[in-house]
Amino acid sequence: MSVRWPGVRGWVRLGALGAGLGMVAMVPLSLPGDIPPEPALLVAGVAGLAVLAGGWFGTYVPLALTISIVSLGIAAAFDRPDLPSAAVIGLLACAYVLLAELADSCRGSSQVRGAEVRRWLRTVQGLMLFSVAGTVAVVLFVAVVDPTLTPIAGLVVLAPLVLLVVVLLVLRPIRRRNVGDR
Amino acid sequence: MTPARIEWKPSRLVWRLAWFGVLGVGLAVVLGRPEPLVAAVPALLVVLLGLREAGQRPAAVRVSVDVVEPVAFEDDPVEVQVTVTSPVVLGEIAMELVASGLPGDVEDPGPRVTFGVADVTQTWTVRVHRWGRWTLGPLRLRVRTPSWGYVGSGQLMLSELTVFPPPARARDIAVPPSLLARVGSHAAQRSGPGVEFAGIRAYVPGDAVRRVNWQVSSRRGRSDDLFVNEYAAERAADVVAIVDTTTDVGPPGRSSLDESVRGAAAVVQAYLRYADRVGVVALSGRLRWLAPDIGMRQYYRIVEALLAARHDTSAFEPELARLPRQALPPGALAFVFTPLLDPHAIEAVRNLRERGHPVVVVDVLSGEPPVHRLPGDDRRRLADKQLGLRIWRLEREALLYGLQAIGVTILRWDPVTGIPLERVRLQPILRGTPTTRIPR
Repeated sequence: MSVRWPGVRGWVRLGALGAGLGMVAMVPLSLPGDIPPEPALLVAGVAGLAVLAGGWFGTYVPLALTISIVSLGIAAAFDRPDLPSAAVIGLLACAYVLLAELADSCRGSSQVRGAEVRRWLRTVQGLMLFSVAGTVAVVLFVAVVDPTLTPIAGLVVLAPLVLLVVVLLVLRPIRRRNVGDR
Repeated sequence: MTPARIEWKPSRLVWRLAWFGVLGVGLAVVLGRPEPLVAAVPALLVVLLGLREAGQRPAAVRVSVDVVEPVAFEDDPVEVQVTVTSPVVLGEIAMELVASGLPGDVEDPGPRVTFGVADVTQTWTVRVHRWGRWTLGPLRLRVRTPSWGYVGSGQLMLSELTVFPPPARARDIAVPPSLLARVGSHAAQRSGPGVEFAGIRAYVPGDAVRRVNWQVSSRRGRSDDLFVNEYAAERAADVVAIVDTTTDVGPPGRSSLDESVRGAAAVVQAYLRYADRVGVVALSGRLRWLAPDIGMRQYYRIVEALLAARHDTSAFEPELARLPRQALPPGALAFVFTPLLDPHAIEAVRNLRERGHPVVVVDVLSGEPPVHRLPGDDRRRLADKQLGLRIWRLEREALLYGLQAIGVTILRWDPVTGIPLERVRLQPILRGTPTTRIPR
């Protein structure tokens, strides 16, 4: 009996599932040992199911993302996980959404080959590098550059600042384009 | 090159990551912990980078279509090559050719996806099952900016595809009783230059010596009497195919109009091969006609004229009296393709016969009115329906008998073999004694 390997689309979907399950698995693993494991495992199980469903039905992807970030928030309330783990969870979430989108884009197409996926990777490699570099910078800023900043104070300053910068950077090209349209 | 307008919007990827990022920032503020914020940073950066590509969204892409055979026959494979060109490199160009407006199939119909290119060419093979003029498409386009921040969609109809009825299946043809004075391929009843032996007569001065039948001359005549062979003159005929487009009944692809046009095309091609003059009349509200002519170019002209018949929804009554003499030359053999449902078409058949045309009616009605048992129908109601069907059959038989009585030959259209032209017996019609039975 010969083993039937998945095609390119199958590998992409497996990659998406791997990234998603990795993201979900990070949360219970980073929980403290003194709390009962059942609630964490239950949440991780539901998130894992959502990730699996999201591999085939794109509508479950936001559910998986929501459960993961909320779980991360709960874990953070117990002083866990550490910052690098949180950064890895964020990067895995990005990889999961990107690969799920790619798998969805290839659905129904019989022409997607390895060369196509390599070309796709070239188009998004800048994106991933930028997000990795940005994440490392933020982690360094929060953990190394300014260790004296208390978490609350840091967040009160940092979070609105990040949002403001994001909004400004996003709105600027859109406004410029609208002016040009007129 | 046709420009296809693209409607852009932020992609689903951006919305999902933005949701993840905003939720992370919100949790970080509420809980007073940096970890959710750190987890949200990559997502927010991807969103940021994706949305910054607003300037790389072309308002339109150019689409060029190359149909290898813009004119094809039913069920022939037609290759359609579509090239999409964008002014900037796009993250994804996905094309899908949908045959929603086409009575046919697209082989390998799924979307064709290409990543990280500015122009891409895809080829589809299309098979159309019904004659007519069809518009290929729609072609659905999905494009993305290089970082997948925006997704754009567009749709456009491609070029026109003309599908002809299949080539003729009529092998034999009926020779019209009235032939033209023009040289053709049918053996006439009068003598003249030809190859078919017609008889022997006495030699008269002027006859070619090579036509002298020496055996008969030596056996029957005196020493100075000679006999020559006579040959049947070869003459051409006028044939007019009349298509009743007032009614179209039956399943799509096998409707009466579909079969009528296929039959007319078969007759036209069969007679044109014999160098006859062939014309066409579309019997609808708006009379369309094409005067008889010769040559294969006439075949394409006739089929082109018939292709417009499907879209004729005129409510006027067809009137043969309006037709000019050129469209229906005297004595022309008329093939009428009709389901014999519209009284105007039946009247037109009678009119043709009264004008002295030999008329062959090809009955293209493929079925009978259905008798369905609907919910709530009792036994009596069903019996009434069946009685109605029997009355319809009797009326139809009476109609066919009446047409035969005036010398009209009636043939049934066979979906497999086409028109049984070899069964047409036209000569008795001239004497007014119809002998043709209705083949069932």
